[in-house]
Amino acid sequence: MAGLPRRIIKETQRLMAEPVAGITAIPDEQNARYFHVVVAGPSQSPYEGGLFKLELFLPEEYPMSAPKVRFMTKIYHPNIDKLGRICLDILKDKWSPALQIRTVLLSIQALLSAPNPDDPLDNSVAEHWKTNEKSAIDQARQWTQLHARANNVNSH
Amino acid sequence: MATTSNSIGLGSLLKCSDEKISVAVRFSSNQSYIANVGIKDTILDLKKAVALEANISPRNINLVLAGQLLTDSTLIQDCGLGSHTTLHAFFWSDDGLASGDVCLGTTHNDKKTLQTQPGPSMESSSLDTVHNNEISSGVHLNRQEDVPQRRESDVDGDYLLRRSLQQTISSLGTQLSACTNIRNFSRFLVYCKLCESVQPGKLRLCCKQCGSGAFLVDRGPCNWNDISSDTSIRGTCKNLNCSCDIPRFYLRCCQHHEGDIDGTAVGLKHVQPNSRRVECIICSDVMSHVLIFPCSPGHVMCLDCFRQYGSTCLSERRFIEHPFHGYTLPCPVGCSDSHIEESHHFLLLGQEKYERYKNFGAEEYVLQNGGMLCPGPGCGSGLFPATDDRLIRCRECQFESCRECRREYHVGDCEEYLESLRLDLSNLEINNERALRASWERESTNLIEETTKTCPGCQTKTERSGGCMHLVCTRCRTEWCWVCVKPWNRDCQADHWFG
Repeated sequence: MAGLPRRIIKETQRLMAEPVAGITAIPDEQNARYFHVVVAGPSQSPYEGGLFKLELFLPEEYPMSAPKVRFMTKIYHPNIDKLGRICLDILKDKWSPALQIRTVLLSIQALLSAPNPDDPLDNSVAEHWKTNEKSAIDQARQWTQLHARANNVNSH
Repeated sequence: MATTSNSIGLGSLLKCSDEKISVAVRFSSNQSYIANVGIKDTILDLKKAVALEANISPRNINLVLAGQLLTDSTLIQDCGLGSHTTLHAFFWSDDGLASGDVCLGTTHNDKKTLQTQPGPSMESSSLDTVHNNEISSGVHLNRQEDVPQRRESDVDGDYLLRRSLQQTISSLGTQLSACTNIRNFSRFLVYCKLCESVQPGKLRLCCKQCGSGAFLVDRGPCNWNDISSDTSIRGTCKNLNCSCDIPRFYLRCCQHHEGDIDGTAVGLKHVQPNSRRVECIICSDVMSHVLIFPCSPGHVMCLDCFRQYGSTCLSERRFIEHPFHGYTLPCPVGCSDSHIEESHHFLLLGQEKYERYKNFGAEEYVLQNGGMLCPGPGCGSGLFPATDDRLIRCRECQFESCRECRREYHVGDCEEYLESLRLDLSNLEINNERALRASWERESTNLIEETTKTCPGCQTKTERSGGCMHLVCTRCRTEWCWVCVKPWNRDCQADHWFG
């Protein structure tokens, strides 16, 4: 494999030196293109208090093509499915090489603050959200307690 | 990781000191003289050589490069001349009448009186260093007086003549003081189709009307607008029969090419020397030359990343169609109204991709304007069928296609026709090359039918290489579902987004 591009090295260094609030992204020891990511649930959201593990992989074509990102921690969210796949345009056709790991993770964090049940990935969750938002938020909060508590992530 | 350089040829600007070049000096009368001069010689030396041949006084000769008078003390090597470069000249007779052609250079003395400030993006370039070094090496300056003084001393007698001369002289003085140094001209980078690379450009100009190179400009250009076809720069054509005051600028590769013809070097307005050592937003490297998008932050990309970004966007059809600048590439950061404004930049992607770019651009134009592309094998001509007939005949290849399914024209329902294509004809015993080719065609058609689905918006055969079931057509932008082959809807997203 060719050496790691300078861009990835610089992004990694910056992620470590100036981490984004509420987000950690640490490259895997074996594979510098694979990142172990933890996103803290944003305050004022049902995910507050939770720590969500994600995996992020930079394909060979990065930054010409988007990173692959997936939630590892179960999450009750209308735009994230059971397998942790995320409905986010910048990970698909709106990707631009000017975006970075940092901006992608910030967008994902923003998605947690602002679920969009009108553009759902999981229809039943979305339906729940639309018919009884309070109950859906309660459920999201319960799942956060159940699956995303700090010690769960750390012990993993 | 070490900072690397894009390769930009500077060969012709770095010459060994005893090198001689031959220069053609052309007067308006179409007399030409060939002079062999050393690159350390001065313009005065050149004038003397020509004067000897032409049997006139050197002081009667004026040489012009790129619309600027060359002063006697200018070194040949500072003019960026190649072998056999033609300098235009006009004759300055002692009675104050000027005639003749011109076209070349300027002097390092201009630097002191430089009035035109280079634009912010045109500041010191790596090329400056080269020239400055050359200048410091100096030469035997026979005459230090500036041109106006010398000219004035030539005048005596008749007051009217003196006045007329003074006017001319004062205008020449302005021209000289306002002249931008030749170094500024080197800041214009070109893509040379003969070198197949980015090169410093040699800026040349002629009269817009008569084409004469004997044209003096009032000020030197300092940005791309100045050298565009609607330049605000004015000047004087030294062809006595011409009263045009508008110059036409053009660029040549700094390398000398035999039989150099117009159009082999095209200006790259977005490419500049990276004098401020800005990092590429894509690879974070600091490269010697960069492409700068015309947005207010001026997003910067190195040329390697531009090639990659351009190639990727081209193959993914992510170029945009702009009303003035055509099919082009937007700033990757998404800045509004920031894109490549001159299509020759896509020559940087390489000849093959440039051809593809031109094809895609033409196709995009046809599709955006309500046309269609002929589905005939190997054709793809743009068609604007006038009537609503289901039968569409291509004027180029005569292929007849069906407006509904974009397949070969057929009678009856499109689905039934598709089924009929799938009939197994292998039992038929026709064994000649034509049948073989027909069977290949059929296999290839079958393969296309098997591996692709048709965009419900524009009927484009679409292959899905990965990702989810939510497709965005690269041609017509329809969002559709790979499973349902219908416009994307909420049910698709909920039930089978990822299959």
